[in-house]
Amino acid sequence: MIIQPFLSILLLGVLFFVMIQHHRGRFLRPAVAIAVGVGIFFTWMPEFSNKVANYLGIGRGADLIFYIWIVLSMLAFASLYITFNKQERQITHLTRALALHQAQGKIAPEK
Amino acid sequence: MPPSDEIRKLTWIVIPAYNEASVIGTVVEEVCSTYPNVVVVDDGSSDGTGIEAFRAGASLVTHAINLGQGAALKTGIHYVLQRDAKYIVTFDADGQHSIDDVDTMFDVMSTKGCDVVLGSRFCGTTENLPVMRRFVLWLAILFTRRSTGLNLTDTHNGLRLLSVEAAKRIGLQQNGMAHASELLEQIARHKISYSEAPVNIRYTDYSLQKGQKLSNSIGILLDLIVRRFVK
Repeated sequence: MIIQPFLSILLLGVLFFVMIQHHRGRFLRPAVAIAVGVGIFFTWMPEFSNKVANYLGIGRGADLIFYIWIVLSMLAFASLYITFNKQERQITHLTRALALHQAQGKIAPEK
Repeated sequence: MPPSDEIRKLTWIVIPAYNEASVIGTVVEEVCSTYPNVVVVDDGSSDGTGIEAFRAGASLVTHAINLGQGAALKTGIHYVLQRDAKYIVTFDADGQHSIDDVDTMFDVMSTKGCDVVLGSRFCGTTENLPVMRRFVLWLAILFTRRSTGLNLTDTHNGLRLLSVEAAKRIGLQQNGMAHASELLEQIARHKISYSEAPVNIRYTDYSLQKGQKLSNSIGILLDLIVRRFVK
């Protein structure tokens, strides 16, 4: 029973970290709260993960958790990709505006 | 027939450059000898490319950081649209293009009455084109023909002639090398009239070292596919 308190503290830590990110989207905090809640529930009641897995036709609860983890990782990756692209566009606009503002016209040829 | 002096004065040559200090001076001098309006977009170089280009007689726009050739081209086009440009030529900085080909492209533009003329090394001549590079270009042509429906012989040639009206309609979003395919996609989407003109490409050890590799091409392809879904 060492792993269960450890995992619970870890999950609550993740929840706390996300909750203090005020600038994040309105969907992220509820989504993480649900994920952490489900995670803690399955940590302390592992037999329920087996029941849900059996219901879904997966087999073992551990496999169910593993598949959920893969899906969540892919969603996080997609979210990061979109954020990165947005920031890249903003940096490009900023760099271009600065470059055009500081442009140097050619030197007139000597006569 | 070569373009008149009036047309040359209304033409701006846009040269995106990244770490090309060893060749950019020669390229700018060669271009300036026939087309007086040249702007070099120094894309965050660390080797003094911008200073060399400016000394050689180009106007200079400098990106504080390296963004990529597509972004540099867009910045250059923005710059010349704020001036008295009527025609815009995109020109590579590594010395593989010949400014004499721009005269041919103007000839094609006036003969065909189109808004865009794209240089084609496969209608013209290529010097020292390696087999692997030919294969990469063939892949690019195949992909672009398929995705745009444009019947082109060379899809990734940096030498292009655009009317200002066409340039205003083309809004590049791709910062990197994928801009070449994106530009063609926009020509197809906006139904901009286009034609190809034969041009000569001189491959030197220097330009081959700087050019696209097969691994980069795969990255460009992925970028184009992903950005089709994520705007």
